[in-house]
Amino acid sequence: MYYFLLYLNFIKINLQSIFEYRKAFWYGQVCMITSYVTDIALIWVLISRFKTINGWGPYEIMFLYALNLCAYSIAGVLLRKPTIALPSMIQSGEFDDILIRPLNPFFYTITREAAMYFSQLTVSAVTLTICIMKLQLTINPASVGMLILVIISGALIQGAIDLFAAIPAFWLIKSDSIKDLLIGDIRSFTRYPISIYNRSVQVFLTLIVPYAFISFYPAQFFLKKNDFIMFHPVFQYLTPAIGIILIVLAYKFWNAGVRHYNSTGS
Amino acid sequence: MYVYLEFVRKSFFERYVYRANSFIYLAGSIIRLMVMVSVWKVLLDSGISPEGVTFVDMMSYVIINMIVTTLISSNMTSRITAKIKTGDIAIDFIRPVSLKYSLISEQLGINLFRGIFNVIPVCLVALLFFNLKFPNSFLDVVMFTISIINGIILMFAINYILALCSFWLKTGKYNERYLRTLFELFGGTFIPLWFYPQFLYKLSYYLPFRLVTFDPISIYLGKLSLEASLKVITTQLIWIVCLYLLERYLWLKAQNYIFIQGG
Repeated sequence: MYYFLLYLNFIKINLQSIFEYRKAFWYGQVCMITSYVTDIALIWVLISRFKTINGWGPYEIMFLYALNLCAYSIAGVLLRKPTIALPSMIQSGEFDDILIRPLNPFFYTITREAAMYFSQLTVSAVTLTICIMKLQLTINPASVGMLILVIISGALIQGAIDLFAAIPAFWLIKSDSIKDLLIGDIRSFTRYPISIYNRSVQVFLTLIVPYAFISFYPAQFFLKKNDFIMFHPVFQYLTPAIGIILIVLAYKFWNAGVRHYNSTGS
Repeated sequence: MYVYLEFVRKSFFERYVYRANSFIYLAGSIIRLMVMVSVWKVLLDSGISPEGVTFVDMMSYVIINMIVTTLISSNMTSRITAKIKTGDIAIDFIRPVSLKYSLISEQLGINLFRGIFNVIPVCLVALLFFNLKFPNSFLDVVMFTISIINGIILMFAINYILALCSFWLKTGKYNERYLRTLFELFGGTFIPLWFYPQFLYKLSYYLPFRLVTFDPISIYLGKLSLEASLKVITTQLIWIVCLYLLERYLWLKAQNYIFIQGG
């Protein structure tokens, strides 16, 4: 509770500092929205030109994309900035600062740097709505509840992956390339249904870096698909469990990292 | 000329110091290639699209695209914005080397590094695993080489003009992203323009972005007749001249406009 209030306060401060530079802020938001909309539009152009990709239609692919983007931006609000900043905080010794506060270092780090992902959230919410209308998905309290649950658990998975990408910095000091690989390139697999890839990639995205649970498996539930490749259909319900397990593991890993931390002394 | 080669060499070796990272970036590029390969494999499953494009064509398309986009990537806008913000730009005005060519040669150094440590290995992987298409005739090779070099010059001109615009816009990061988006949308780097709906194709046709990678690759794949290829090269040259004049004009204006806010 205490951390929640602290978090709200930090958000307020961050918003104030963003709105100091109002024009720059809007310029940036418009830019991000344009670039995401272009991305989605191009995927739509591609898939609708070929009708389907492995049995997934254009709006289904958009749904997949939006689900992923939504989880990504919620994780972003909570965790992205601290995880991006962590290596440089460790490098510069700024992390010392966090350890001497009378607060849990983990919660302090993530609350201190609340980032705003307005544009991504807007784009993903609008796209999800368009897809739900176009695909005429059933809307009832249960399905809406499931959607919210899936998005939140997806955000937990994404957040845990973000943390796993950043925490090695406690040992390696410089680990930007691991981050780029995990959050940038490996994530690009999830734009399309993972059933189009080679088997080893499918196993990798399900069991090792479980991006498939953010959008691919839950999307099958909403779209009533049966594209489980070699896995059991029960996987469509596993997202919440995986999310909780991963975030707990990430927290443990963080603690191990903090214990290992030696100030660089600079 | 020698000075600028030195710039290229310097910025190349600056990257070379951190070459350990390049293995991870290489893994990233291979992943991106894998994604594109899988997508086109599924989409062109039946062998050939109504436009007469085969999977082998698409593989060559994706790979040449990767090489060229690496060679033309640019962060000149960010660098010039940083210089304007700190006031360092004042020094560049009095230096005996041109700002334009030193920026471009530094960029070439960075891009060459990525070309050697990233793109060449990816190409080797591609050559091992896929069937690639090679041009039909020697004439196509010549035309392709000329048009791709023009394309690279063209994109450098666009990037440099964007960099000059930061004298007025005073922000870098987002402008680079805008340009990337435009290039992706109208340049056919993600989906070749063959597959675009009519109106989008028409729109792209009148913009210079398609001349950078799409048209040269079409020549490479033998999709364009000799006249069409010559037309592409002429259009490229016209664009290059126009952009050169625009850039000279902006540079003159910028010199008068610049206001150094101390350092």
